[in-house]
Amino acid sequence: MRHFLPYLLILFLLAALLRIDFFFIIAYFFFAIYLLSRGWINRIERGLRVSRRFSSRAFFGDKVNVEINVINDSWLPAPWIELRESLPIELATPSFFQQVVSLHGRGRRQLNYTLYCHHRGYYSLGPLQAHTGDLLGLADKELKRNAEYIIVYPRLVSMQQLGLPTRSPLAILKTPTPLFEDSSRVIGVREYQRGDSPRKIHWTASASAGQILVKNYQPAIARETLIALDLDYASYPMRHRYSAIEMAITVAASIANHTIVHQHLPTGIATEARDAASKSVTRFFFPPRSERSHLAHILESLARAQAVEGVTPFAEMLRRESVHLSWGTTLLVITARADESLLKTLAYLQRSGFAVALIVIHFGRVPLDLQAKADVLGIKVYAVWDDVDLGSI
Amino acid sequence: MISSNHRYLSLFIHPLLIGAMVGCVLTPIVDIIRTFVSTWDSLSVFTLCALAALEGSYAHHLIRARELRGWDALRFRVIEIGMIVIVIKVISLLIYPPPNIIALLVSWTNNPFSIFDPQTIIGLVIAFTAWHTATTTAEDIADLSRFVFPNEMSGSYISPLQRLNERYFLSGGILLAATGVNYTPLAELISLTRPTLSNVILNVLIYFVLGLVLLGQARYTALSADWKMREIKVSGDIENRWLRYSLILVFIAGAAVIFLPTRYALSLLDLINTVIAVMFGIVFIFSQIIAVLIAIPLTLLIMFMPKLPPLPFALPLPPVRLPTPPATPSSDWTEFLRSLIFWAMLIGVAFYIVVNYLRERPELLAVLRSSKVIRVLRGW
Repeated sequence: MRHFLPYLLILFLLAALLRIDFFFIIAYFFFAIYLLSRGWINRIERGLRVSRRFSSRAFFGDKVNVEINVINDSWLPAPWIELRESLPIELATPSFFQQVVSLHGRGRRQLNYTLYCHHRGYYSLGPLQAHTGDLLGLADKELKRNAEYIIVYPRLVSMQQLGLPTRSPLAILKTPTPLFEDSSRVIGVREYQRGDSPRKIHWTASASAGQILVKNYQPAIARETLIALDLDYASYPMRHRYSAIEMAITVAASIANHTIVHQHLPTGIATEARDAASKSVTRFFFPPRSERSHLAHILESLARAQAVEGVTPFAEMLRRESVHLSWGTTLLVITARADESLLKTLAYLQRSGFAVALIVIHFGRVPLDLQAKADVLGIKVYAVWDDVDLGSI
Repeated sequence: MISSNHRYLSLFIHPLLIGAMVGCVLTPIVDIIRTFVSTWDSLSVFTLCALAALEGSYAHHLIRARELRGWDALRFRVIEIGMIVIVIKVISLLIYPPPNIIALLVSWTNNPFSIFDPQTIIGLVIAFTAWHTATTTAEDIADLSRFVFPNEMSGSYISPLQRLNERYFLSGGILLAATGVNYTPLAELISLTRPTLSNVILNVLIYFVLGLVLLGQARYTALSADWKMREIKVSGDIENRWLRYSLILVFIAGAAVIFLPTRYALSLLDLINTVIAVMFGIVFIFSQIIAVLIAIPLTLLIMFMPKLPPLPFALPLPPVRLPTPPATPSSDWTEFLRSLIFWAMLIGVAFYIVVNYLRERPELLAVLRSSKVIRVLRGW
């Protein structure tokens, strides 16, 4: 209520001028109403707690229930509280949640709404605004609760659906390259056999066992996979850009899931994209590992990654990241544009001892010219477009 | 169920309360007028206000429901105003019957404006004030639920709730001023040393308490309309709680004021009075100084001006008496015809107004038809 205090002042002046005691009582009555209303709402503001509870990670297709708890810690009732929460349009329609509640003193109310996770991404819930006021419009208060974030992982599909071989790492099983061992990763000991290198003898264990034992190393080749994902905006055809980029991310996530969960093989990811969390172009690089928590990190990165213009050229990024990989690692390259420079880089990497496979996000079969060039280079090429077409690839 | 409750509230309870509040404001004003002219008593004022407020509110509802615009709305309003005039005149005649009805009718024929005697004029002012207040308040209450387009929200835009608040406080100020003048003789109004009055003034109490509860309800109506327009789900029984909390708030504030030592304000009052007296004194001295400063050069100017000869004094001429026209034998006949035409027109207009008024309000007509008095009259 605007101008309430000037009105009150005029009331006092009238009472003073007319010298009628009852008018003073009326003026005091309004003054009491004013003070009570403001005091009431201040108490409510201090005692009002609004919290949000939800699962901050969700898989594609999940329904996430968000609980909003409104608690009035004050002894005074809150006549009305208007709550408004902004929601991502990709997860909820309409893109806000709003409700009006009334709470008794020491009362609480639980409100719920559902998010439909049909789009991978990193989304903010909120900020949550709580607006309350008195009965006459003398006092209004607004509370704001910071936004929280939810990550929706990319869609995961089976390898059969993708039309890719289930025996990962794709090209490596057919390679004649012998297994190499990584001397930094000892997985056990065994008895000495003729031909074993004296450098492999485990002297401490041999001394305690009373016989010569040699170290058993973990095989270091062929069982590691790095998924290199091209998220340069320009690499995807303008007409189907959104769906093609999403498909590329789906393929990357599905392969990572397949190799880590089903094959228990170390898998990593390398891409350069805009991070939805930091809002800047970020290099996402996770070296190959096989733990489930590592898969979660990969999926989280893929959820946050957004295609962007002006990143490092994909071929250059592949060369840069290959430095960090073990010899013999399978390199799975996902892109929609396999140009000359990329093919040259892939050929170079193959010659450098990596097993290379190329997945092209392309409608229909692999283009004939690309297939011909890849055959010459000895690179396996797959074309993926969408779930329906995948089976026929 | 809810809509019928709301309809009942907006058509009967709100107008009656608004009528009562207008009555509270007008009673001290009429009391002041009564010191000069014999006129309506307090009960009549309240009755007039309640009737006029009910009529105004119902007419507003009908205009909105029938979406009357332009000529139709003007015709509706003219008939309505005519009906109010007729009813006020009839009530005035019933409450204060004239000693000689024939002489009254003759005087009306000779001078039609004598129909509007002071009694009727004061009654009309009371009724139209209540009618106007009820109509504008009903409009504002209806506007609380109206969507406001962004282009309407210019700098001069005042929300309906704000208009209601302002009307409430402005009328409250008028009420206090009128009551104060009514309780204090005008000559003593600026006396700062007179004793204070300490009795409870019922109409002031009713006005402010009633208004406060109604303003709380108006605030709820505005908020709930806003929530409805924005499709916000409202959980819990806010409406009933609102009324309950409003009453509790008014009760606590009232109790605090009654039980707290507010009478100490009188010393504050004296202090304020002293400050006001000093301020008045200073203003008076300054105005005297300014007057003297203006008067001195003017006096000097007049002193140095050449003296003009005095104007010759002449008595005004007596008025010329016009010859009286000779009496015609047909003067009685034309007088009768003129009277006949006047009454025919008066009755015709009144009949037209009443018939159209009832036609436009079929519910009222049905109520009248079903009433026992009318049935007895029709049977007879």
